Amino acid sequence: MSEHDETIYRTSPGRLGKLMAILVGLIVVGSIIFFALGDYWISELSPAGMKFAGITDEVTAPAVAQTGEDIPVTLDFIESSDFRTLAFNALPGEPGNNPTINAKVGDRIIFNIVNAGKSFHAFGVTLDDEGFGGILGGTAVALPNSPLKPGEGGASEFVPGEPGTYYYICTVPGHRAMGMVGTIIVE
Amino acid sequence: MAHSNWAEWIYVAVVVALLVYVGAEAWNIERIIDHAPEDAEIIKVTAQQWFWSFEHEDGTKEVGELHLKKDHAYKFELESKDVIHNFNIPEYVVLLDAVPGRINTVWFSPTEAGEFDIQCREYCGLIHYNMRAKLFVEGA
Amino acid sequence: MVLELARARPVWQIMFSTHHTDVGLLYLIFSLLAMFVGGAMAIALRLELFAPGAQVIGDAMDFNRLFTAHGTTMIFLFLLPSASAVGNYLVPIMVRYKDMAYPKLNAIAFWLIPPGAALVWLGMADFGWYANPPYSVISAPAPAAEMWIFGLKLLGVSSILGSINFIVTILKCKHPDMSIGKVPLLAWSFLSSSIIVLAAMPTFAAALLMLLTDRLGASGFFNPAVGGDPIAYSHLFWFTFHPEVYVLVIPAIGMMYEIIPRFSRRPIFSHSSGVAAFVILSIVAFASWAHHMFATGMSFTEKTVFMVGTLAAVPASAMHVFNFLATMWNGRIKFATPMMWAVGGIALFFAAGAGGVVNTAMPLDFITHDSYWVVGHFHLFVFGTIAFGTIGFVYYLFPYVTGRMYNEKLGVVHFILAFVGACITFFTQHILGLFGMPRRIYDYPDIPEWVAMNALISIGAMIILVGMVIFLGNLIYSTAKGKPANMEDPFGLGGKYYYPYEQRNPHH
Repeated sequence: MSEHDETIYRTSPGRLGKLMAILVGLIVVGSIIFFALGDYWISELSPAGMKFAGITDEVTAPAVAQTGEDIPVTLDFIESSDFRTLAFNALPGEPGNNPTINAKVGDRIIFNIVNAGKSFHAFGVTLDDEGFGGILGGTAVALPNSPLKPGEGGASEFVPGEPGTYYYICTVPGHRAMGMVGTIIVE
Repeated sequence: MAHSNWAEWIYVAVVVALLVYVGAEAWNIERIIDHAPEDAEIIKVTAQQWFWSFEHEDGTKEVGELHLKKDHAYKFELESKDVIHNFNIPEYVVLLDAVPGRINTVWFSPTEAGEFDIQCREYCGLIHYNMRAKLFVEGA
Repeated sequence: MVLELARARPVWQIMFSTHHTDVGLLYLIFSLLAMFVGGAMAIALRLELFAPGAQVIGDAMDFNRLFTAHGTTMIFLFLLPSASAVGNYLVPIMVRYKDMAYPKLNAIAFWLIPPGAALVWLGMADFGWYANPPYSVISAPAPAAEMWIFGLKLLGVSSILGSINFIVTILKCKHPDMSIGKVPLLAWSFLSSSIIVLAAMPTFAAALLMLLTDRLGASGFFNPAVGGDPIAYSHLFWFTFHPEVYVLVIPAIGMMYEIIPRFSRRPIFSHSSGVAAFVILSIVAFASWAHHMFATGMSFTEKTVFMVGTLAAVPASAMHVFNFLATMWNGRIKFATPMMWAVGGIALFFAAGAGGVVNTAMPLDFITHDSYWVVGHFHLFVFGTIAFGTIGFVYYLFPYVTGRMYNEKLGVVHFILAFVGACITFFTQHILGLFGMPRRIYDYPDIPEWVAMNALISIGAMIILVGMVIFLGNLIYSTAKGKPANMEDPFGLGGKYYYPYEQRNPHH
């Protein structure tokens, strides 16, 4: 039955090279598409997730034009070494911990936020006196699902239209309860 | 082909016997430990992304740490605020899911004083790997 | 023999062919590609876990996406297609029919897989291959999650179509002189696994659809915030995926039923015992799904029922092990590469099963659940048994597909590295799990035992990597320039290499 050997075609290096080129080429093209779009693939939350987190398209406090002065505020996310206590600027008991911001209606508070800790954080201003929802439009820096990594920062603004007590918090779930909250008193 | 199969039957019988033994022993032990004792003190455990908080019977709240007494029976009522977590004290084999929408209970009685780890044993997102807490058992 | 080809064929003709050998080749190439991609992901994970702190992966989100992609790739894009590859090549030959029952459907089933893979790999969702709600509903980011869901829909349909084809081919297209009892055990393994897929997969298809509508906010099946029950998903998922793990292992056992008798130069100890074991396993596979859910808060009675169901599947697997060992006993064994892989696979299969018995003993599960013990346990199955059987069969099939022989020495080296690496990696993971390390974690605290074992596990993974690189080189070089094989008896076993029925590709 050895005449079978003559009739058998065994592939050549060239053809195999073509196959490898196709396969590797597909992987390369796929990788380019994947990396070029970067965080796009994980940039949103599902509709059910947005409903759960209380994120809606409406702004929960009316946006107003700025009629007062600019108040720049720098807030650093910091952590205690055992990660049990979190705060802005200084740990509890030290001066500068979670500074209270005083403002008048119409002032523009400019937040300069930096993650000076080792964990992930995100920022926002809310009227709610507990929890991590109800973030007012325009005040957010990063989101819990794509937070600021250590060293990263960002800026946002808040122009209060009504007097009252507002809170600036870290919007990562749980961080407010662990100490990352401060008050903004608006007259 | 004709050959005797007796070796195979004996082998299968041995395997089945071992499995019956394992099953019976497991059933018996689980039956004994499945119910918490009547006098167990209830601790409410709340799991959320990505930390643990506890509430004792007298209303004391603790976040990220839990202080208990040695040789006391404790029953944990687990609840979750968002996704499924799993309350685990590996050194005491305490392990049960905290499922949002229901309350699961697990109990134990710590026999040694000291510091023990509490960790989350069900993937719950970004900081699942660091959803840890500390158990302090005070003894006397 | 398939290789009765006189000349090279255009690539497009192979790609769009519906002949079972061409479709089998497509499945084989794709599954090996996926194996290397999934393996690269695993190496990235193990490099990161080598020590506490960040090594090569910058943040937890990337790590979470990598382990999700690793699991999804290995199961759906490597193991299932590689089984289909082997089945496509050999089932029609084994039942003495000219092709699969539905050749065009066969090609469609294959071509659903690359788009499914593209969706999974581009999205890189982060919820683990289980996609447990509520995390996968309210917390997992979009569009990655939706891409995963659609990708898996395509892969599930592909699996179902392939299964229909195997069942009809084996039951209805087999040669009239062949009774069902005489059908070779490899074909029986495809019959069993295909029937399991038909019975189990639709449940997951439903669960995927429900997950999608939940994510869109249109339904509340699994979202407790709107009245759903997340544990319902676990039941649906595991009702499919516990039987699915048998779908993965049964073809590999069938492949061992081809290799072991041939290389022992003895007939199978008991063909009917093998058939009985496959049939029993297929049925009992459905009785044990909630052993994955012991920690969800089930009642004592529920846990007992599923413990018994799990234990009931063990004797059937044990029958296969006995069959293999009894076949080898007194045989004139030739330990060529395929045989080494098959025997190594049996050894690790036994170890994996033993570890499984520990998991199913209810109180012990509370030590091992969701820890590295489970990771070690299932890897002993998917790598130690299924991948070993598959890789061994790839070596066995190599002369049949390419007409050349691979380099035997490199094959032996590959086996030794994989076996040693697997033992180091996966047995250590069992112990690490006993020390309490959870799975799916990006980083771990500085506990000395964890650090030492993780380092050892990562070293084991690197050993496997070296073996796999050698494998890749061997495959490529030998396909292009390997010594032409003696098509009558490439392994020098002294008998007919393969089935005595001639098979011709209709294009020539």
